[in-house]
Amino acid sequence: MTQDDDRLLQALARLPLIEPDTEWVTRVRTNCHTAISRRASRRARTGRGLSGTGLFDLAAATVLCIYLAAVLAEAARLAGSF
Amino acid sequence: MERECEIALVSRLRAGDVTAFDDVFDAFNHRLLSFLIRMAKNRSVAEDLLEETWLRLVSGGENLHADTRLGPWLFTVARNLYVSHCRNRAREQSYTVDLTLLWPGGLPQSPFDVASLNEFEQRLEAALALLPPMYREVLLLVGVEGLRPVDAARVCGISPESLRKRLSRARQLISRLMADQDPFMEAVRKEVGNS
Repeated sequence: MTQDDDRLLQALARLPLIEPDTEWVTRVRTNCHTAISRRASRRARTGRGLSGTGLFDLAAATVLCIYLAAVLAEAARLAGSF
Repeated sequence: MERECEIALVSRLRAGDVTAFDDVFDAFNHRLLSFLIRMAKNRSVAEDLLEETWLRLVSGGENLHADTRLGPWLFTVARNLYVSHCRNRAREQSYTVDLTLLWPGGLPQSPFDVASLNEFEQRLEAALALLPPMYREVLLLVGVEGLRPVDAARVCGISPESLRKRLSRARQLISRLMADQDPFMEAVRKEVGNS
């Protein structure tokens, strides 16, 4: 890298940052906060929904197991009686 | 931004922490806006692209890797949105730059502001604006934003070696632009030499 290249990069580094419009900043920040809150509430809702579904599945499986056990017991009883 | 701070910030972003978003916004908003305005040469387009960049951070925040470097990540999103914008609209702005577009209320008026935007800087901005986007972006990322070349290469989607060549070519082009133009640019060239 030449000395001129260094100077060019130094000059570029000194270029001023461009100020954003304050109204724009407020609007964008608010939109993003809203989006974050919306995602958080959706996540919480989904979490609750999942746990509800899990309990339902567990209950259904339990009922099915009891039913199958009863069917097998009845089948064994009938087979024994013949 | 220190690396430990950045890792903690990413962790809070992944958890959906609003204050973490604010911290990142405050740290990068000016830099990203400056980058996008200098790329797009249009404040309104740059503001739209930057808003979309922030919304991408919000929507993708939970999926960030724990070791994500926020600067390169944000500049990559902003740069890709700019590229998509150019592709979709099939437009690259004309090769003239209107510096009054860079400040919402026109050119700065206070003596401090005027001093902060001296003739040399205006010339450098003008020369930057004349560069093709692929060269302008590498000078902005490495020269203005101070990204490490390896990070800038990642932002641009090219290898570090390609970035090195592109940066070298960009330097040649901007030097030629500043040298070839009228006495105004000659003064700029001298200022580069004297600084």
